[in-house]
Amino acid sequence: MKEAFKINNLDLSYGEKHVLKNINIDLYKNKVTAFIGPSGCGKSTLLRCLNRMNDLIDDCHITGTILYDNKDINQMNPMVLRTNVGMVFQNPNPFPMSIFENVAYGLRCQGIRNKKILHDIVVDSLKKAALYEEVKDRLKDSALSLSGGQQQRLCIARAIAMHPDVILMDEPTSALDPIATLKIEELIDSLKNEFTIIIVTHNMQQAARISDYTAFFMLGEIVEYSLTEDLFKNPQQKKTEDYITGRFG
Amino acid sequence: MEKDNKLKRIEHKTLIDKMVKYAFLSICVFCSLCVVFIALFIFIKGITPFFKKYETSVGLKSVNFFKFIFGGTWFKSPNIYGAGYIVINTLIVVILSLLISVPLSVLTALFVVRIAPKKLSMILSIVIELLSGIPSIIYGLFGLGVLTKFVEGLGSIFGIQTAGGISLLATVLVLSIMILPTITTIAITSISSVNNSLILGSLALGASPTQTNFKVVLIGAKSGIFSGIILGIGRALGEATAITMVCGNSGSGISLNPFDITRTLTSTMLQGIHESSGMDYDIRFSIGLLLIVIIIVTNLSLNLIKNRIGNNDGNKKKNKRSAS
Amino acid sequence: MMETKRKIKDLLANGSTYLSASISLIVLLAIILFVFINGSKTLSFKMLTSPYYETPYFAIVEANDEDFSSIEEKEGVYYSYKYGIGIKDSKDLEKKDAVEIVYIDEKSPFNSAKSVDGKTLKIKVGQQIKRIQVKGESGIKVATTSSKASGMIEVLDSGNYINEFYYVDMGGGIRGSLLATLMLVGLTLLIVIPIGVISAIYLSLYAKDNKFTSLLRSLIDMIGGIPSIIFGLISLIVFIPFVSKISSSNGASVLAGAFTLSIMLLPTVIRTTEERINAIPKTYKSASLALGASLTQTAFKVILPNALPGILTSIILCIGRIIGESAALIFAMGTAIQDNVGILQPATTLAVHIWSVMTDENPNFGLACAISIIILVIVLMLNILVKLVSLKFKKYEVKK
Repeated sequence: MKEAFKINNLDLSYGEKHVLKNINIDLYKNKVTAFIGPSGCGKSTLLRCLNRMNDLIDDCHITGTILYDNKDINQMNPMVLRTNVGMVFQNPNPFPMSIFENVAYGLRCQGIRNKKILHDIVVDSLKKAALYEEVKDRLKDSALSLSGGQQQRLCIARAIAMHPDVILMDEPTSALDPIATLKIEELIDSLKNEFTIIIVTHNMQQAARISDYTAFFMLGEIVEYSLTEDLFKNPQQKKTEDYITGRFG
Repeated sequence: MEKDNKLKRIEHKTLIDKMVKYAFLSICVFCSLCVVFIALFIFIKGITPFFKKYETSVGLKSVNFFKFIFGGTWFKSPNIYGAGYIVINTLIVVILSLLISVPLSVLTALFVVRIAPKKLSMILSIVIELLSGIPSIIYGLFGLGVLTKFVEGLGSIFGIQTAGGISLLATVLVLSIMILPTITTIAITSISSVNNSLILGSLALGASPTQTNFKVVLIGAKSGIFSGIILGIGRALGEATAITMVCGNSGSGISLNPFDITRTLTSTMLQGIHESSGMDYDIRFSIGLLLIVIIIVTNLSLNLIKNRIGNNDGNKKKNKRSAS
Repeated sequence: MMETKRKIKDLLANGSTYLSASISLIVLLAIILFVFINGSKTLSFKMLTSPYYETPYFAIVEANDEDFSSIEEKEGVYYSYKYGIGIKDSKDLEKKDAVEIVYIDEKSPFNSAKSVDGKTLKIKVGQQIKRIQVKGESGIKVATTSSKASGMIEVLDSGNYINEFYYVDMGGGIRGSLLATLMLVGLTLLIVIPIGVISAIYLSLYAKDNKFTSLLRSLIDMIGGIPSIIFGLISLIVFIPFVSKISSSNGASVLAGAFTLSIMLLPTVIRTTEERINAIPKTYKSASLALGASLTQTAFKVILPNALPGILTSIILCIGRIIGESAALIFAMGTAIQDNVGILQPATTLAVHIWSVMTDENPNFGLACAISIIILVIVLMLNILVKLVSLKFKKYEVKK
């Protein structure tokens, strides 16, 4: 089994605040890995490290190494990294443009101008994101006219259009209703053959349903990391057991 | 092959990104350096008359600095200018205007926020907004057309001859009308942000709404009101056209009689100078420099006072916390 | 007893707020009333399009054989039965005595007046007569404005041939100042908007949140604290010499005014645009970067289109400031009213036009107030426009 990311001795702090402590973890290719844990445990921060979104925060200090495809991501051009490692955010955040332009945005930024190619990729991405049937007649409409769940699937389509290897998802369903959540979960299931998916979630049932591997975080440390089935059925650590049985969190 | 292309494109993008960033940075730095250049230019030009030798009717002379600062007559002889009395007259005009407009603004703001019914307070907000949008030249025109007539009439009641109403009093009236909306706007903001629990606390202690307004609300908003006053002073010191139209540009002496003409720094720059080169031209930059110095000094000292007021509040809070 | 005392005190305190608030209202009403009463008579569409200075014409008029004695006469107007025109005493722009044409009969020979070199001249009601020279049986007779209307009619009727009819178009218009104002607004916006918007984008998007950035910000804010008359001085030291160096102009010019106001308006543009950019959801930036876009692509494709309402607001605010500005422009563009304006020539804006006519030996309140009406109406409309823009952009926010 190949690793998409190898993380060694990662430490991260915002100003005085020590957010991630000595993280060592390997994330596998073409699997769904879920990060779970109580809020403020650093799981989202680690996710944002993977495509260097933490660069945008001024007083963020990172030590340790993250290898992507056996290359140190800090040696890579962040734009190259981000075209390979896509991201879907907690709240659906389509740009105030048309549905088509939203999906084509990243491609245009790559300098792709051929209309045929753009159109094909957009349609293909929308189909993969299970949104095409719902919006095929109104690709020119504003993306803001879509419902929350549709907007989030549009954001996934936008990420898929870049043909990334990895898709990072930061609590992608926390702002959605149960039906929209279900659709996204089905979508993730269908995408995992093609992409490596790393998902941060608040919802333990969701992690159990959709992920192959699960890492449990607490206070900036990884408490336990193993196959999802093992972690939920037979946790090795007392803290994990307490958390998944709902004693705290 | 395609991957190489992609890499190349991204490298290209990165380069453009860097170039744009530095281009934008240099434009932004240019913008912020403007103020430094302005200060520098005015400073250099402003001190020139005291060092450069000008050809005058009494030979090669420069302006006497000491007499410029303390002088009581604007133009005494070809190389003797006095601006001391102008500074004092300027300060008199500003202080008198504040005496009129500060209470008016604060009470108006209190009325708008706390007393007036909703519709009336909306109308008044619009009125104040419109007043602050009127250009100063129109205030000057109003001063010349209405306020000077009023002053002239007032003077004739007391049997005082005025220069057609052009006077210190007219200048003060124009200026106080002009800074009224400035102070009121800020006062409205700070009064409406007074913590509601303070007001309820006062009412619960049996104070009447009016007592609450005057004793709790105004005290609570004092720091904000003070910033409004600082802003108003800035505007008053820098105002030029409207004042020049009604002040009369007196040639010498401190004006204390409200029916007398007066002269401010700005009116001197606008009208007191007739040459287009030489000493009489250059001296206006010295007046400009003097104006900037006065603005900086008043601003700094007023902000110091304001911070002290703020600190007092902070101390009180701390005391309260430790007491509880 | 205590209670009544408190009530009286409250009443007085409350009353003082009522009084103060009513003063603002009274002042605004007084200004508007003053301006409208004095200016409405002068204000006309013709004023907007006509030049400020009077234009002289010289005509030759020959009497025809019509008899005009049946004209319906009005009081105060003197009529010539020979030529079929009516004139009356009036005042010119400088409030000096003048004679104004108030009636020209359909059949009057004045309708076919010729210039000295034979061209047709159209003499119109409202023009003023400066001098006439009439050739009659008793030789040549001359009348000027000092003869008043009655004397002029006497001279007119003394002969059949006017060999010099010197009349003027009244002037008193603001065409030049209106054009100069438009020119100044256009030029200033052309300079200040790109520079200001780029600085705002830099500050809100590229700049790190550190001491250097906050120094830049506070320096830019300090420009806003400088009184406009100081900018006038700066135009004398920097911009007028600069414009003279790069062009044929010498001395004050509209371009120098535009440079001066651009510096003055920088903080307004930067602040307004930056505020709008900061209101754009932060997730747009991260979403764009996460898709592999560069910062520059993000700035131009996502941030700039969304900052347009802010840019529009700053444009409106700038127009208001430019139209109202006087002190800085008195230095940068001069105070001499011009009928023909050019970018490299001195000119007055509407506000400085008021300054010029009011600091004249004979202040012209009518014209100054008429211009003030125009300025006030523009300022009012801009105020409403700002409100509309912010209202529209609020709607957009809610939709999001």
